[in-house]
Amino acid sequence: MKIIGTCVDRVDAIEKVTGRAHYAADYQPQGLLTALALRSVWARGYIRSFDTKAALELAGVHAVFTHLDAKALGWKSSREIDALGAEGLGRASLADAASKLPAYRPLTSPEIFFAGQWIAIVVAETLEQARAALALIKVDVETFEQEQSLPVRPGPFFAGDMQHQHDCAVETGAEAYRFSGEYETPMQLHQPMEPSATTAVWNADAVTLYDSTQGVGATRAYVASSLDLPEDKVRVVSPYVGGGFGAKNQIWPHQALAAHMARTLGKPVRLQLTRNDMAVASGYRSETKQKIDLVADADGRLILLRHQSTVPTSLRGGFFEPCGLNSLMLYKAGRVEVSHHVQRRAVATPTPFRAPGETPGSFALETALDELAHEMRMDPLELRMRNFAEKDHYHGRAWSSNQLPDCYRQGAARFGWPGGHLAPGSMKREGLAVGYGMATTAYPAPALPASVRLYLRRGEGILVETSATDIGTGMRTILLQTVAEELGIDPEHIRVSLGDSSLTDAPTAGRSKSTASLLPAALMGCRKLKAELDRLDPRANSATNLPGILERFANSKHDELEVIGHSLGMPDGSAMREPLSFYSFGAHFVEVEVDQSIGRIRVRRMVSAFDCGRIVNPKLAESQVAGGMIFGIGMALMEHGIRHPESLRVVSDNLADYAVPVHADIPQIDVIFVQKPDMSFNELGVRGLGEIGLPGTSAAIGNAVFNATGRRFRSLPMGIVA
Amino acid sequence: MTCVEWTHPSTVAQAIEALADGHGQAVAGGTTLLDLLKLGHETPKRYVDLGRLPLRDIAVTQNSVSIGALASNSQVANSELLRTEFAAISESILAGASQQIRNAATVAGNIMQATRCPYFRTVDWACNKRQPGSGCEALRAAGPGHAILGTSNHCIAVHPSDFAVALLAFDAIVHIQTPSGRTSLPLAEFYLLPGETPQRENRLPPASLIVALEIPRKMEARRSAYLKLRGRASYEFAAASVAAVLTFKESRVAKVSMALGGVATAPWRKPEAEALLIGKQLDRDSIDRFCDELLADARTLPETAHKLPLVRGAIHHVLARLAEQ
Ligand SMILES: Cc1cc2nc3c(=O)[nH]c(=O)nc-3n(C[C@H](O)[C@H](O)[C@H](O)COP(=O)(O)OP(=O)(O)OC[C@H]3O[C@@H](n4cnc5c(N)ncnc54)[C@H](O)[C@@H]3O)c2cc1C
Ligand code: SF4
Repeated sequence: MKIIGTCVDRVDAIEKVTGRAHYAADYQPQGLLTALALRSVWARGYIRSFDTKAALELAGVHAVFTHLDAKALGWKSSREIDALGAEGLGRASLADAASKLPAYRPLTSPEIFFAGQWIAIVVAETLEQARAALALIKVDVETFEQEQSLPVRPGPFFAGDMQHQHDCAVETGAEAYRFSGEYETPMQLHQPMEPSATTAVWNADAVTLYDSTQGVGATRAYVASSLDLPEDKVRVVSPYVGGGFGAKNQIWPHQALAAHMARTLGKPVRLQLTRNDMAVASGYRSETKQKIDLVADADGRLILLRHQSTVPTSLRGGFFEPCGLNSLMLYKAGRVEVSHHVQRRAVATPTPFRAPGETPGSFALETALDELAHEMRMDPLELRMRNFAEKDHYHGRAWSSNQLPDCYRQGAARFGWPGGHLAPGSMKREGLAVGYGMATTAYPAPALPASVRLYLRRGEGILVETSATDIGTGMRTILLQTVAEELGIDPEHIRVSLGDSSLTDAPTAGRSKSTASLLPAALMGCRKLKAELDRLDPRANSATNLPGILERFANSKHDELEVIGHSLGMPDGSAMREPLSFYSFGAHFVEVEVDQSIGRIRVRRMVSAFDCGRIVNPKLAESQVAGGMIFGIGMALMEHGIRHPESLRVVSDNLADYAVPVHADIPQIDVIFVQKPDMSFNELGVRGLGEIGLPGTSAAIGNAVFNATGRRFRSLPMGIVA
Repeated sequence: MTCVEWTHPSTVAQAIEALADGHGQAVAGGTTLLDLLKLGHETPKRYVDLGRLPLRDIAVTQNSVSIGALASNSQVANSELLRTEFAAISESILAGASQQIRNAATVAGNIMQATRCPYFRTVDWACNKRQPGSGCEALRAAGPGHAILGTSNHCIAVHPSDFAVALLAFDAIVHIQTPSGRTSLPLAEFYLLPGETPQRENRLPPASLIVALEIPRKMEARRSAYLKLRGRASYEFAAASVAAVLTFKESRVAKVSMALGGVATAPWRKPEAEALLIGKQLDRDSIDRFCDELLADARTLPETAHKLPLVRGAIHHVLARLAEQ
């Protein structure tokens, strides 16, 4: 049966659209209490005192927690625990004095580190009561000025060297062109459809968390150590996740707090993040400032590519945007220099957000290349092709499979890319300026070890289980496809169960690694299952193909049968002829229409071609990458996290003041998959594709706007300017 | 959200009575009010639900169209007469909010809707409009959405309604029921500029209700249009908007009225500027002179400076479109 590579509908679509899919905040255990947080409006200060009397007297209010109760919560902390959470990510890379202090956790100290910090939590019977009680809490704060500290030069991060130079033996002529540009990208908010929530239910000495997370295993590890419990006393359940984009990738303090409060109160507690909380308590993409220097010879071959980034992080956190990642490896240049500076500020801790680093970084890099091409009066596509890296010069390895030239060719052909230098302002349609722009995208293809359990039970078909989450990507569906194809059984006999830490281990869904981690494990499981059946029933060897797996199981004497398939993560380098570098690639081609007198920019057409190995489900794959491209439209044109200039408090911490694209902003999107299986990556030849759609998109749009008007936007969002 | 009393009057007289002690607030579609309630804005003692009042009809006479205060935004936008004779009104409504909101929202609620200034909506910022005397955060940290016309040293919040802008261009009249009887006011006089009392937004007397909005009909052939500019293609308030009503005589402007939205603390019109266009052909020069006069009093901040060229662009755009028709 051929099912891998076909457009199977999302298997959980009906549950989702009929409301039968239960999300973290939908669980209603008996006696459930609701918790809401009070955010500091002050940036820096010490809390002198709280007046919580009126709040506590309100009907339905069970507790108000502040830092004074931290002890009662029994919240354990250590360097090791800090390192498991979102607040600890990147501290090892920064390795400055602040990285050695305890990581920020709300309600543990009277010190306020940023505007938006949770300083009190109300627990009440209803959301309305909790909200009313919040308004009654009075806080006396001694404020002080925000300190200025020197920027830090971070060490390696995200498997990339953050301070790097390499020279590469390329034949270039004498310097003929030199270009420098400075670029800025704004703070961006994840705001997935489902705001984060954790519902904690204790049963004797064990706790179950109904949580909205991209990784149940990582959540369990953090929460268990925070509660000072062995991991087997903590179960994290996340069968459905309403989008994450990184906001639910790392483990945030609220996930532990819900369990702490429920333990202290002896009642189930749901801690719900509001839209406003989502801007300060589950990360965001920080602002970036970047500078690109390019030097090229008369043919456009790069002699130098220099990418310098200055990005913020919080006072105690560590995550910063590693903007230079793509610049390290994507193009061939005589010399590549990448550096990062991180500035600590009184802001909430930022976190990975769909293609962290690559997304803002590629805006700068791909815009700068367009600027260079324009200076040279050269086709920007030609410029990129001339600087194609035939190997990964940064890692000094061959590519496992790099079909970027094919992406350029197929994308350009489908789009009708004109070639040659297309002068800005040369195309008009019904009085509007029309422009074309393009950009490259690239994203690493990682994989981690994972396990998938296959379970057969008399009369019940086959159950496929793993703790992996499906954050809207379609993991349930592609696991089902893999098992159906390998075992040759109809999908209707297969059920997939995900998102429960009591199931077999799987990595957090993030950094586009789930497909390549889980499908090989499922494949291995299927093989084991067949072998097991052969062992039980040697007469009907599976090679004979007769009868089917389910019939053979039915004919056996067994009531149940279980196997676990494992995958090993990245291919074993020592087993390869030469070590390889694993990446996905793509090329975006965009058409915009601009009405300059009224500042109106509309994206009219997007054609993007991707090399993501073999595609398991073209329909779901297309919706993933198109989703990324739509993020790019938001980033280019409207998404703008605005901070108060003094307190740095997020003003646009809600969906009324933070615009994301609506349907009317989305043009015709044409996705091409080059579909060359990456057989040295894994046996299925598959790579992840959750992020690859986004990097480069905003640059391609900006480049098209320049082509339409001659106006260059070096700072996003372009907004509305006449 | 504290517990409040709800009343459901079925006549205007009962509604007025329920408002009489000054502790009631009228609720029509609730699309503005319930939002603010959830955001923690102060609640009145009593909500007076207008939903049962017989004020939903659109009545047409030879001289005017009278829209009942509780007619839904959708109902008005889709009315055949409004679409043909008052295109800018229909267009202004359809350019606002979403279909669902327009179905629930009423016309009186629309012209009475609260500003979208983020510091007003989120209750823990300083805001003179929400809490008189507390200061104006926007003057310290303006955003791209703040006003450039009609501002004061106490408030620079934009009036958010699209519909009211189009109504103003059509010389609409607001009919009001007060405890002591019926009265009416041209919309042009209905709104107050913030001055020193930004909490006072209009001249609606205490314990009163809008019962109808009347739009005069004219015999001559008029052209009208509404242009709304915003960052995303739909479902966003205006960065700048223009409603224009024009009568041409031998390709020269015989009459013009133009109102601006998204840039001013109240729907904005300036008859002195309009006078400059009378008898003129619409060309770059005449329109530029008109813009100069209309926008002469604009006061921009770095965050709002982009609005000036934007609104000029919008005016040129709309007038060019009308001249072509
Ligand atoms: C997400 C969103 C997007 C929106 N986008 C736009 C947009 O782009 N453009 C736009 O113009 N608007 C927009 N709106 C605003 C919308 O048009 C208003 O919320 C709506 O028109 C208000 O009408 P309502 O009947 O629901 O008023 P309500 O919320 O019931 O009341 C609003 C106010 O009017 C008062 N009021 C109501 N009826 C009367 C009456 N008869 N007499 C006296 N006072 C009365 C109420 O006391 C209250 O102060 C948007 C709203 C939302 C929620
Ligand atoms: S501009 Fe007006 S509404 Fe906004 S904060 Fe200032 S006073 Fe309040």
